[in-house]
Amino acid sequence: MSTAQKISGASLLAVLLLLPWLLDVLGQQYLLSLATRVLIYGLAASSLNLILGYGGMVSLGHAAFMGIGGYTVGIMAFHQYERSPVLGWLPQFAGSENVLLVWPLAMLFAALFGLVTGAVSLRTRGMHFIMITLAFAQMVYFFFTSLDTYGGGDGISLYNRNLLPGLDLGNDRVFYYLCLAVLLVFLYLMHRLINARFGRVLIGSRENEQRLQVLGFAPFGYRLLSYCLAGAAAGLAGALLVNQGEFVSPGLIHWTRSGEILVMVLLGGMGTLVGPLLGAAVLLFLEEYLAMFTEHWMIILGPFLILVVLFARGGLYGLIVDRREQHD
Amino acid sequence: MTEPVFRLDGVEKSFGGLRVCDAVNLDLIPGELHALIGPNGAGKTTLLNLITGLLPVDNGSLYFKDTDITGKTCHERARLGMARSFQITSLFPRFTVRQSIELAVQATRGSSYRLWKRADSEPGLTYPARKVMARIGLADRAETVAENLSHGEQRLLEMGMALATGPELLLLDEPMAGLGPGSSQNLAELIASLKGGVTIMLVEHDMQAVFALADRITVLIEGRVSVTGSPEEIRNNPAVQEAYLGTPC
Repeated sequence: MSTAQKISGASLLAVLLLLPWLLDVLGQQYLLSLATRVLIYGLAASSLNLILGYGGMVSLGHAAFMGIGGYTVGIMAFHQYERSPVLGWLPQFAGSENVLLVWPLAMLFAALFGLVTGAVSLRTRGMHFIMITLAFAQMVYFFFTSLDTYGGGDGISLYNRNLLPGLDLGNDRVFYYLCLAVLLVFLYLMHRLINARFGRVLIGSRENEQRLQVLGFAPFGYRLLSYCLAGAAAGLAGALLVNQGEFVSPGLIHWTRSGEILVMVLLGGMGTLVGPLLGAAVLLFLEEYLAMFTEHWMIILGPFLILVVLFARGGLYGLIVDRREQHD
Repeated sequence: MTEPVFRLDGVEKSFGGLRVCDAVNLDLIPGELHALIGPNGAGKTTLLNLITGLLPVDNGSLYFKDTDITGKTCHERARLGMARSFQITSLFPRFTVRQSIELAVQATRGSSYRLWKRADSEPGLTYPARKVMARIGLADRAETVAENLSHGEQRLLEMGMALATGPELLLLDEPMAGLGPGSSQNLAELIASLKGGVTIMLVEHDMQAVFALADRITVLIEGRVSVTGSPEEIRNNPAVQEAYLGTPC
């Protein structure tokens, strides 16, 4: 890492850490919830970046993981309120709002979904992979739409956020810091992963799959594991998002959401550590601000995205920082 | 005669109506450098693809050190101790020389499902990689990205990645393709220095290099083994002269 990158990384971190106070000083506290959303989408986009940017797998179904994570939170909370057994046949278990139980479950279910669908879809390449991941995500979308017990298309409202002993997640500032901590931990884990042996093989499969096989690697296993890990992280992002809004509906899984996450990765710079977070920030802020001026904000945002993808192949991160760091 | 390292037994392959390998039988003796020559379209690269498992055979069997590997996949064969270089340079374009060689090293040394420890701080990877880079003469280019290397350096890296897996059988598909005389000479010296330590199958159009390096030569014509023999025998074989060499050399 060059000195310039270290300085820009450190200042980004400082801004994120001090943001709640900065917003106080500026008198813009309402932006804190937008900033929290940026962190959560940053986590989702970073997890997609693991398989897309480093593994070369273009998935258009990433929202399914978020939906599974989000619905885990919603359904568990629902049974807690109703005092009814989960799924109707787990008599000993009447839901939960405990972060330490519900969030790992959200990650587990998302990872399992990744394991099952990945085992099928990772046998295909390119356009077929895009279509299969999209199809699986649509299946999840219609599955939750059809669950009348859990609100069908209307979804479930939560009375409060999940409970974590010692921390009041209902406090927006506490919740912001929790999201920031989760994101930083994930980015650090991913940084370790892509610089370890595993990451070398994963990036190698993006660069030249045939060569990798002739060297003696079977890429499938590496792809599948990275797919599950990315799924678990996106599941956690879904759980966070549902906690923030205290609401979950099939809209969370709509294919346009998968597209949005994909755009964040491309916009920020795929295959870079902080690019997707940058992409999430720019996209969400633009949406928010353009929507203030006109309801046809997509007319402005669309061409902007096309220009970035056409002229900045390393994304915004590539425009700002030296290209050399891209796959380190 | 010693046990062959590698044996092809009646191997056949057709693409549609075109028979590219026709009942090919071939033995590779441990430690020899066996050259495979033949006119364009004789099926040399196809034969290498069948040996490495990039293509399935239609008929016949392949044996590596007495193990039947006909049904084994490409990466299983590689793990048994086969490595190859490609005629059309096949690298990891955005990996540095060092990263490419380290990746090749880790293919045969331990599990690669290591998620935490930095690969470039594992002496088990970096030390062998440094030796290979020194051997192929790319030590001072270690931090250069593969796509920014010159063509000659890319050919060397191609060789280096094959060597770094520590193979018992090395398959070289026209390693000198597109090289100038100087680089060709360097590569020929590198190959000569490997002789004896590893069994090598060399596909090459540079006849001077082939006759200088090879212990035995097999001539492939239209998918059939025309003749196998010492360089002397091949040079004096009238059928080969007519079909391939044209004029006596």
